[in-house]
Amino acid sequence: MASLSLQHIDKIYDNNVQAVYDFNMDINDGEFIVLVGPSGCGKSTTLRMVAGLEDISNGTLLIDGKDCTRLPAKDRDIAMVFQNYALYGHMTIYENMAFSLMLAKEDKYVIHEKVMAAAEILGLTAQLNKKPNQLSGGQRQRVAMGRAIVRNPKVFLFDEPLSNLDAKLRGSTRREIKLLHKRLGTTMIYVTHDQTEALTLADRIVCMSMGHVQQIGTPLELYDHPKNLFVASFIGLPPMNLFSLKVEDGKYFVEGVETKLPDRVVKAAEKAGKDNYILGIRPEDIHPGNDFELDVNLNENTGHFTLTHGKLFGKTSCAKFRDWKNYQPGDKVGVSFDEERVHLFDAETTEAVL
Amino acid sequence: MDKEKLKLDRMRYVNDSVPSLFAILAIVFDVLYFVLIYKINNEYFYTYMIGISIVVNLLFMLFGFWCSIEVKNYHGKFGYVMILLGLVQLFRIFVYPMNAHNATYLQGELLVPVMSNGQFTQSIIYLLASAALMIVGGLMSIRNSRTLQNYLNSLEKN
Repeated sequence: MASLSLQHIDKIYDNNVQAVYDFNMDINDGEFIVLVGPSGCGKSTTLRMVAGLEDISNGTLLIDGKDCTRLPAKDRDIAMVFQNYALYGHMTIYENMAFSLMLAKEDKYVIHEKVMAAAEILGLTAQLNKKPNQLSGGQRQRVAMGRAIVRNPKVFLFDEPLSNLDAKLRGSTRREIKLLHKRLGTTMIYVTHDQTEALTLADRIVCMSMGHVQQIGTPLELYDHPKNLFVASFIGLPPMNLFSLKVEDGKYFVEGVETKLPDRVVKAAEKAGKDNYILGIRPEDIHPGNDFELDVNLNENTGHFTLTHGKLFGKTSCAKFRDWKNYQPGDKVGVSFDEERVHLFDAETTEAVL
Repeated sequence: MDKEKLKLDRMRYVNDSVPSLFAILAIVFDVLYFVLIYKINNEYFYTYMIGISIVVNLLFMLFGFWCSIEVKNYHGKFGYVMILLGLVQLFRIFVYPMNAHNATYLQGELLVPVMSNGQFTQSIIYLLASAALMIVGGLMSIRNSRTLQNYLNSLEKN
C-alpha cells in the first residue's frame, strides 16, 4: 500500500500539444480514486504518467514520499490492468499469472503460492489450466487483475478495464473490483468515462475535462454539489436539465419565461449580483406537481422508473419519475421541482453559484 | 503448505517440460546422426537399406515429437513409447555404424574404408545420446505422471 502525491503535473507532447494541465492531488494510503471524464480529457495520460509509461513534462510525483518522477516504470512497484487484458494467448492462465514473477526470478514455489492465492480470491482456480481464448471477457479481465495481484504492488492502476465487457458482465466485474479493493486494501487508481463506475467504485472522484481537473471530491459531493457546469452536466444519468436564467428588474426569466423561483435560488442570485445564470435541475428532482408544465414527446418505461422527455420552459428536458407512467406524446404533465436541489451556475464563468 | 506438497500441487498447473525437452533433444541427435551418415557419399550405402533408414528416421522424428507433446501433459503412456524409441536407437548402433566400421568399398582399383574412425565415433555418440535422452525422459515421464495421478487421487479422496 502507498500514498501518492501528484504536484503540478503537466503533460506536454513533443508536438507541443498539452494533454494535462497542473494536476494536483494527494492520494491516501488504500484509497480508491477514479479519474472520470470524456474521451481526450487526459485521464489515461495521467494514469500512464503515474505508471511511468509516459514522461512527466513538469511537476513531481511522490510515492510514499519518495520522488518517482523520473523513476522507470519497472522500479515503481505499480501494477496496471489494461482495457484489452494484454494476456499471452499461448500461455495458460496459471502461466499468465506467474509470468511477471518468473521474470523477476522469484522462487517457483513462492510463485505457485501467490498464483494460487490470487486465483482463489478471483475465483479462477478451476480455469488455471485453460488458455485465455477459452475464457469469457469477464474471466479474462479477472486474469489480468490476478496478474497484477500476484505482484503485490503498492498501487493498482486500472485503465478502463470494463470497456470491453457487455453491460451485465460490466456490473458484476465492477462489484468484484470493489470487493477486491475492500479485501486487499491497496491504493487503486481507476480510469473510466463511465460515470456509473465512477460513482459506485470511488472513495474520491477526479472529474477532468480538456486536461484540467474540474473537481475532486466524494461521489456524493460531485453529484450534490458540482463545482461547475461541466461536472453538473457530466455526472448524473440522465444528465442535468439546464435552462438559461435571466434577471431583469428583479424579475426572473427562465428560457425567456417569467418564472417564480424558490427563495433559495433568488437569494443566491441576488448575492452573486449577475444578470445571466444557468439553472440546473436533475431529472430525478422533478416530480409530478402543479408548478410547471411538461409537454411530453417521449415516454420511456424501464420498470422501476419512467423517463419522460418533453418541453419544459420551451426547452427539451427530461424528468425521471418513480414507478410506471403511461404518458403519451402530446400529454401535458404538471411538475414541481425539489427546491432544495435546484442548482445555479454563473452563465459567464460556469462556476456554481448555488 | 510444505515444500513437498507445494511441489506436487504445482504439477497440476505446470507442464512436465524436462521429459518433453529430452524427446526434442533426442530428435536433434538423431538428425545429427543421419546427416553424418548421409554425408558419407559412397556405394556402400546405396542399397535398399538406405530407404529403410530414411523411413526409420522419419518415424523416429514423428513419434519422438508426438511423445514430446504428450509427456508435457503428463501422459505417462508415452513415456513407454519414449523408452521403446530409445531402444530402437540403441539397436541402430548395430545396423550402420558397427557394420560400416571396418568395411571397405572399391573406388577405382583401391579399397577405401566406408567410414573413418572419427565418423564412427561421432555416429555412436549421436545414437547413444539420442537413446539415453529418450530412455531417461521416458522414465521421468512415467514417474512424474504416476506421482501426479496419485496426488490427484488423494485430493479426490479428501
